Amino acid sequence: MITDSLSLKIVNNAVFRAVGNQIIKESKEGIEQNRVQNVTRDKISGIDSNEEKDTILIHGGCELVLFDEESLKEKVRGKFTDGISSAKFLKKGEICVLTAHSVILRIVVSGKSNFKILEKLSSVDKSTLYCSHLVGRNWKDLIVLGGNAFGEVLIWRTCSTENKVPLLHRIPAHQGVVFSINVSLKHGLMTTTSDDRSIKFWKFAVDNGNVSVKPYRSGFAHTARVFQAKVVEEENKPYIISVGEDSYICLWNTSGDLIFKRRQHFGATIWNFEYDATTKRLHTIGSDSNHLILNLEHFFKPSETLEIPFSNLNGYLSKIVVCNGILIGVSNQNKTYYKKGNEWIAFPDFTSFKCTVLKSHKNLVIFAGYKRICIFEFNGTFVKVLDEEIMDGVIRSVLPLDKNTLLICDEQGSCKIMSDYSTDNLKIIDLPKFKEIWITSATQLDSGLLVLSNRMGHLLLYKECEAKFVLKDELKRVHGSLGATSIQFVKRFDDNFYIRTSGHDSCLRTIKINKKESTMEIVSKEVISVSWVERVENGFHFGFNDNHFVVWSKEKDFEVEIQCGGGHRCWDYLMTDKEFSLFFIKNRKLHLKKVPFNQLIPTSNSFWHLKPCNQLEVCDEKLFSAGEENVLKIWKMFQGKIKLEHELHSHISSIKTVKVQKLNTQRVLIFSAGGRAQICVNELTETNLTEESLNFMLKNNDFERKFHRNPQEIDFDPETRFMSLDVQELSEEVFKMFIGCSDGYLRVFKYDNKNRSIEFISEVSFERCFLHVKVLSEPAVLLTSTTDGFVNLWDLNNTDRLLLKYRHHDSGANALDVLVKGDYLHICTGGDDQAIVYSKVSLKDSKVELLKRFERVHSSQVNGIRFSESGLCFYTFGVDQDVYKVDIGDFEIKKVHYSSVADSKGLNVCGKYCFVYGSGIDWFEIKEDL
Amino acid sequence: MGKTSKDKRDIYYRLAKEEGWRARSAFKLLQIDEVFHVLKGVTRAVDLCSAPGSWSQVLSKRLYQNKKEGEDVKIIAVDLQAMAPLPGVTQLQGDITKLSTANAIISHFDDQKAQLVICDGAPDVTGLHDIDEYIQSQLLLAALSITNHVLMPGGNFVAKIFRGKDTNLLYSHLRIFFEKVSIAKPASSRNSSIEAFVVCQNYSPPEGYVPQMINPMIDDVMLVTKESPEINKLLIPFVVCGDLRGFDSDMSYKLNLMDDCEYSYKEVVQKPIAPAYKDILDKIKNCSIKHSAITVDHSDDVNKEQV
Repeated sequence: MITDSLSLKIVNNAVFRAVGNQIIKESKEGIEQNRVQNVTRDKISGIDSNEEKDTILIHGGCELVLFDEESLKEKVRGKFTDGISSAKFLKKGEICVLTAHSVILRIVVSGKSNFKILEKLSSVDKSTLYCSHLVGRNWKDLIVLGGNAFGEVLIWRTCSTENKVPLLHRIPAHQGVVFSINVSLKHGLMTTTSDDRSIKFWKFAVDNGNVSVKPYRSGFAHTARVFQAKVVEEENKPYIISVGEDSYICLWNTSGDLIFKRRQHFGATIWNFEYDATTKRLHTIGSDSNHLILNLEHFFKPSETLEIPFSNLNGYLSKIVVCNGILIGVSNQNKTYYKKGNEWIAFPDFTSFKCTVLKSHKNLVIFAGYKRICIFEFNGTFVKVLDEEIMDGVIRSVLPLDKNTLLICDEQGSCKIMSDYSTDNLKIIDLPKFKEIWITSATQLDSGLLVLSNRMGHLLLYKECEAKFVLKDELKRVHGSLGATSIQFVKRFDDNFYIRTSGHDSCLRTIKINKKESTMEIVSKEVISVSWVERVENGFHFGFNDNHFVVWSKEKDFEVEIQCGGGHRCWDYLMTDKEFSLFFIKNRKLHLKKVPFNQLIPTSNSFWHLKPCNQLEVCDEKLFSAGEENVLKIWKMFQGKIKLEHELHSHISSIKTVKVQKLNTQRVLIFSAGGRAQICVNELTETNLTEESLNFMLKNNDFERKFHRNPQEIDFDPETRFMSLDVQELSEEVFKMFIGCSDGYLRVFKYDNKNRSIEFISEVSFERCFLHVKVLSEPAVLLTSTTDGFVNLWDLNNTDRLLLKYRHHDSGANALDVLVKGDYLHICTGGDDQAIVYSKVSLKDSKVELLKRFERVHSSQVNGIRFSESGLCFYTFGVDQDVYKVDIGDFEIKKVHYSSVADSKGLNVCGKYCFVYGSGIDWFEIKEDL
Repeated sequence: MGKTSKDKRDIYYRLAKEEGWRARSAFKLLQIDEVFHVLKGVTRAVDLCSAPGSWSQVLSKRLYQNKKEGEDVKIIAVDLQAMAPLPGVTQLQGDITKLSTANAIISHFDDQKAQLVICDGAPDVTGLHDIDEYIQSQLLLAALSITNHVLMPGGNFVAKIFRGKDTNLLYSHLRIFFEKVSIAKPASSRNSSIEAFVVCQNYSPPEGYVPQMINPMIDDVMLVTKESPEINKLLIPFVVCGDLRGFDSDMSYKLNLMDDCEYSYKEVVQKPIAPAYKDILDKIKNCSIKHSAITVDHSDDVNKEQV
């Protein structure tokens, strides 16, 4: 199950954490040791342990459960008549429970498996608490702090003689809901966080039964709601850590100054955290169900940005590079230096010239300028290996193709390949004429193929034929109007090479190069979090986001973020296992910033969608999921677990519908559609790579259409949502797509996968928003459901012909499935009206029989329904999070599962698993026979 | 996206602007009334959680139409947020879960009780469905406590609910006080939304019932010794309100709804209430907190505490 993880607690040498209503015991490295499912009905919201650390207390909703710490065996269970806000162990095995309406109970375990209430106190304030915190472990000394929707912090004590305890303080603390309150008595600090994006720092003191609280700072560093803040201790000094909806962790000192900030959960909400002072590690949990561990040790004292002096010499450094760990620079006076200790030493045997390129490659340092290129090799000392004028104009780029081969290009477009650092046998490439003609990145493939990107942003494919390079193919503006910054080889399969390019447009693009045909084609793009990628090395992307230098990878997110003033500057880096050093020039000065690196402890990451998943399709052992996040993800199901294999970033708005069509044993076509009237077709190829075959969108306005000279025959609003899609195979790789749209039209398109063309066929108005579309090829009918609760049958070959229309629900038919059995269509639906309806339609005379209507099974909308593979039963899933199984023989209905996945969007059945999804995903094994 | 985008995607948002309602939710009450006639003949009503005021607008329009000679119209609108004035509507600002607010409402109905109580309030959602549903249900129970004080026997109560996993408990609680409880889903409420409305008709509290200011369940916390049967499913009818052949809240419409009537863009009647994070929005107008922080010093703040 992947869903919200709300609470965690480090006890002894283990981490106990909740995922939905499950409790998981893990090692401090995040390795699972034990798991208990369905502990509570609601998601688990709190965990505590007793003094002896042999019992774990868990609460969620109204329920309180005690477990054995070692075995996770349940000891005692209790349910209260109101929701629990906080619960914790007191001394001597007693427990106190605070309800969401400020009633506090002292309870003990009575007998073997029951709780007994010993004492009960109630505060006079009855506002519903969004958060609370209990200070103390003795019933008589407890201080109760509660936060409500009005931004108030309510403080009262249990040492009252009255049953209705008056408040000690009602403090207006925030502009919105108070989401967390935490107190460190030792340091006299209290922190509160809120909807208003702030974390508030308070002085907190207890004196003779009096509690005094005074705010002294507010910190704003989160860009969304702040869900938790706690005081942690490092070297006996208090610090504050806060986490929130923006996926960031912030480390503050007690004066309210931000020390360090990091995006930790890949964009998912961080709900809670614990700091382990013994290992100095921060454990965070969030809406992505992940448990991430960060070594925080080196972040408490951030290093300053240092200035590396160059004052003993004339001028300033204008270019730098790092070669073999040695810093090399070119001054504004065209002198070249390397740094040894604190000294800058001039390169030997070097006559100065205006240096336009400074590059390091392996153990070589390359200086280039007007016509001339000068290469030094480092073997303990720098020795010159080449210094010659080989070009016609000012050299703009020197790009290594392999260990001993360089591509050199000047501003006039003269481009040469030099092997073994010798000017003999220079190969010449004729570049197509452009205003800015020179090459920004290059890669060499087998079979004499060479891929270049020029400064205009075009990608050029050359093939070497009889010692000449012939331009074979060209892709325009692959990363916009600037050149690609890097070209990486990805994979070779049969006659195709796959390369990946990066640029200044937050995208990585995969390009397929056909060796035989010598052609190039963009097959997919991936949107990444770095807006300017400058280099891709060792699996990391180095680049810039606004005025920050960043190092990012998909697996570790942002490893480094350093303020340096932004791109357009000379920089290089040194990277060790645990430290990253960035050298950069700013305001004519050389700076060095060292930051901790690689501090994230590797744990398993779910990579699940950050927003609700609208549809999940299953094909063989692969899952295809998509939703509000605009990303389609492909997963592999293996040994009962799912693992992310691919992400498709074709959509610019939410994806409402996905349909998967197998082409052969290895190739799968993925049709998807959604917001902004967009249809995408991607192919999962035999290479196990994805290729975008179609990305269709209506152009925004007439002007744009004219501009692109692409008059379209279809004229509907480009903001129409495509709600549901299904396909009919017409012939090999030719499909008809039937799309139910939000503007009440059923639209039909023809898609030819061979030439990747789309053609509009027809549209018919139904004047209701479509919810589901299903194609049946035998018999050739199309089944739809709409927001008015009707089930409609259309002639698949002529959608102007509505064959049958009958009502299943009072309002929207939110879920629909169909099965052909003999001469009947068996149709089951789930509705917004909470009902499950099952009917059959005779294919002979279109007679409808409403066979069963379950009205009060689900207590909310039914959004998922699916026949089992055997066709003997169907499963339903509602917003009430229950899964029911209905036998279609005797209509016996029974609950088979309760899931912690809220906001249900659908259900799917494949093999022995049933999947339910929405805000997360859950799957369980099903038994076919009732 | 252009400014007309929302007009295309949300027909009721657009119609609300064109017809002068402060929010699209006005149509929800109107559509509920079409089926349940809760506004018929009513001249005394309470609107709980009224901001921005669209339900009060409906009350104001319909109750004065209902008014007979010599009769007074009484509309009390209560919300935590300040609301722009509405003619004929008495406004109270306060939290409906607080005793003082409840007393202030009750004082208006000393002589003659209200015929209708409505509540379209929703909590500040956390994104955690368990908590959001719970808090919504607590809001409804708070509204019910006030209703118990101000509603006359035979009166009606309409309130928003989030249909979730534990709504059956709420229905059974409401059934104690009303002869008939229905779930209403107006056509103007989106299909995809978990929102619905309980329409509780014919207020008839148990004999000898003394209204209490605070829901006794809240204070009288007990351990549930015996688990009640898992599904206590009452016969609560589900009623769709509004003409299903009328406008579909999930459907996108062309801007020109009719050929003879040219579309023109209208501004919203009432700007949304300032969000909790308004302060920080103002603060980051000229700076960014993406990589840094803004720290505010409270050392010199005057203590604003109230007990």
